[in-house]
Amino acid sequence: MEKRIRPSKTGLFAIELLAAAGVFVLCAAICVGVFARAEVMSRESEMRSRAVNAARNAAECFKASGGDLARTAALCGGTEDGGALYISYDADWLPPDAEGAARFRLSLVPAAAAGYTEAEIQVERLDLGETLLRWTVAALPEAAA
Amino acid sequence: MSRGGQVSGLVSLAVVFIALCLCMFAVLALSTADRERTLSERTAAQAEEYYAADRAAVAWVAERRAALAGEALPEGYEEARSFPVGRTRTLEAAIRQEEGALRVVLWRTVYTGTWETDDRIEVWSGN
Repeated sequence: MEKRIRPSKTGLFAIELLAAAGVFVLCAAICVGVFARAEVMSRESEMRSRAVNAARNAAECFKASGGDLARTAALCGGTEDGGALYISYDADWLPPDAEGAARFRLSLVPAAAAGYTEAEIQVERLDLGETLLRWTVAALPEAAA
Repeated sequence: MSRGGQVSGLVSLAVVFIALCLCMFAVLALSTADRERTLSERTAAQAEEYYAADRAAVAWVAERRAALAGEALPEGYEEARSFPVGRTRTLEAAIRQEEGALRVVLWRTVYTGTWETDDRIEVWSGN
């Protein structure tokens, strides 16, 4: 009678470990991708929320100033250039320390209208040249009284 | 059962458990990030809707002032108008003749959507 060859228990254990490790590695690879995707989404949400806050702040300063650019700049900061107001922010949405540290920029460009002043507020990301939001706000002159 | 079989079974069980935990946390993280994105988009949209309505109201005030500039309006003469802000809010604006000029006396956003009280959970009684 031929002696039946049976696989060793050590070999079966090794195969099972390899299979378990393979499954774990596959699962981990998928989950790491999902975690990375969640992180990207979270950063985009934070960026959008910060842009809205900055734009809202600038809009309210503009309205409180009655549409006057100089008074708007005095209220919310920034620099006037060519009839527009520019406010720069770093990666943490704070005033940048150095010239090249600006990551985001808010621009407020006023335009005269009949009896009031309009302004286009735009927040853009400088490194990608991407516009995060664009609003048009209006201010009555009496607000500055 | 031999000791080797017990160990291999435990290892497989641990790997399956860790993989399940990893998947669960990944799903939770993605779900939370998706809700955060939805909230930020909705906040941005609501702000944009408000300023669009605000702009329309400002234009209306300026237009009424220009239209009534040459008229002798009685003291207390008032006009009001509502401007929709999205689907659930309205910006109410009113101007009144005071001291020879049409001044803004009302500028508020009110909620006009349907709202049903949910008193299943007592959030705060005021005490």
